[in-house]
Amino acid sequence: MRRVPVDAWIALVLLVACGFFLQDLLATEGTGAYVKTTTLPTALVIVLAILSLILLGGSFFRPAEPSSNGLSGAELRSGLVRVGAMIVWTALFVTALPWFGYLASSATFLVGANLLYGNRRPISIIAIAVIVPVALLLFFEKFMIVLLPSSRLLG
Amino acid sequence: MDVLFAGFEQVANVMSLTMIVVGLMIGIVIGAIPGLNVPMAVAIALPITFNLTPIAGLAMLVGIYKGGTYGGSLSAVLINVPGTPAAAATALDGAELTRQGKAGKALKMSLYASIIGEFISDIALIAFAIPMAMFALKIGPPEIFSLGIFALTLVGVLSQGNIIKGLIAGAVGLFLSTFGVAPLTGDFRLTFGVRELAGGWAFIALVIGVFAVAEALSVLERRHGHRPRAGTVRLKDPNHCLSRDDWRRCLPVIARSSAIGVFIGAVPGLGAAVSAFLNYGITRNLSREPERFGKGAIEGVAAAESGNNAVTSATFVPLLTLGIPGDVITAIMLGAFLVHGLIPGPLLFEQQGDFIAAFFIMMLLATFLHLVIARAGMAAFVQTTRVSDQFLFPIVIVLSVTGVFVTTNSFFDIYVMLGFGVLGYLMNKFGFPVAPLLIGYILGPLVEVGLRQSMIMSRGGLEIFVTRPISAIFLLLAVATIAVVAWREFRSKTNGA
Repeated sequence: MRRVPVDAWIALVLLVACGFFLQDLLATEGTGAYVKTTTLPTALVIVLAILSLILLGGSFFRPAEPSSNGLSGAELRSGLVRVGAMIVWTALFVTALPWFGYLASSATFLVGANLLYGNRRPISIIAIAVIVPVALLLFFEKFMIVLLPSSRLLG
Repeated sequence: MDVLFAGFEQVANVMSLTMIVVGLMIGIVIGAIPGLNVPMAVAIALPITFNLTPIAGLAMLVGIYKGGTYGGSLSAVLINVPGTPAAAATALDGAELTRQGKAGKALKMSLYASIIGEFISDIALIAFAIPMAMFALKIGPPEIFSLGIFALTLVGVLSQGNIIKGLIAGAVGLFLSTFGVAPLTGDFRLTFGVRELAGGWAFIALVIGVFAVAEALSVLERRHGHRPRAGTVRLKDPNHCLSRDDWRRCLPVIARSSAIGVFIGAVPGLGAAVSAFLNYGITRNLSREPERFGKGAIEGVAAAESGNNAVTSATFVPLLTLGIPGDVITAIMLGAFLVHGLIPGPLLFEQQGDFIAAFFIMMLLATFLHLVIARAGMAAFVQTTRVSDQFLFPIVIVLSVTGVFVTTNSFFDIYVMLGFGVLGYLMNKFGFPVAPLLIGYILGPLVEVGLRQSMIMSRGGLEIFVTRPISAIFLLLAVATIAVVAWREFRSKTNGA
């Protein structure tokens, strides 16, 4: 039995999203003369749904396209794990910014990110983690007079 | 002639020249850093200019404007992180050239195309300011709408080979632009009760997300695909030099893109990003080898950069002749004019001839110094390509987060940037082109506002779009573009069968 193509999954996700947005737009009362505020977004959702249906239909007739960039199964899996870890790590970095401030959060993030990218040299990791946040902080706060997040916990 | 000499005296002094150089250097650095934008730098520098002579003060602001508009291309080419929204079009082919070890070639073309675009724009400002202003006044909502529709048809051009995925990306971009407060009426739509969405998705978060973060995630997935580490990168190496063939391909593109850029710059409210993408799309559409675009076509860099920099001087056309600022930057600069007792408008040309002559000479001088300074700094910038991915991309992510925070002062927008980064990564992975998404997002508000204002003007009649000549020409161009795209798709299918 043939596996469901990736494009079909993407089309299905888009169709679900279209349904979600359409019900919100239909529930919103648009205003304006001749062209209402909801007219363009509603039309776009409908166009997007039609295109998704075409993508869905077409995905079963086209030969499957390789999307692994020449990577083996194991390499692809470990790559995806790294990408997932980086997304979570970046989200944690952003969450930590208001609590621990720019310097501490950026330095910690850079250590983890360097490890994820495969850097195993402690001296270079520490150097980057110290120099980059300090340089950016000085540039933005002293030169550009734009404040970066300060720490709620550390003061 | 006396006016010309008097103007020359105002510019040819140490203070004015120093201010141009300082402005250019600040502008190039600001433009190259994602998140820091030219309006911000011009606004910060504005009070400094109050204590200078009018021409020296404006020289600094013009230097920042010209340098910043070009500077965005440096990070776009070298690390696939557009420093400015307009540079996103440059990144499409420029970053690919860097991946192929031809960063110097992309940087050189980016600079020379920018300078030629600026020079043509300067000449247009000097020679045709008043007729251009009269023409710009004829561009109303129907023309803006039709221009938007024409530019949107380029989504099809940029999607050749996978037209459905390109159209989906374009539709998603347009749809994303409709979030938040509706233009004209101020109604909330698609905000889902989230206060931060009232202003829509932050454009800077979208651009940095789909380029910088997506690139960082793609590189992390491959991890073993580090860029080659060589010794000092020399701009004289054959890979980094522009060949005669490159110039043969690019010169007509630069001439055309500069002319279109001048037109777009003279129309208030359009801006450099529209010009860059429009020119990129037109150049690809007219190319005999459109399949090379997105894979390191040097004409792509030339079109985007000449188009985007040709806007710079042309935005002064409505400001100087009518007193109407063409964009945010000239709106801030209007402050510098007023502080020095100069009121832009038709009377400025009659009463302040010396100043106008000095201003025009200063614009030309700034373009020349821009070439000298940027060319001198290029050898240093290109060394970025020697930095290993393991060092570079963690720094790129921190820079992206910092840039978005500095621009929007919102943690929500950093999460949005991360979300768009994941979207861009998935789009790259599954073969959805990113350019149509950005074009859709940029053009969405133009098309919607143009449509709604036109319908009010015509009391609901659609004929307004075809009875006004300029609007009708844009619509005809849109139809012609669709015909060309359809013909190419048909031909590629029949050739492939």
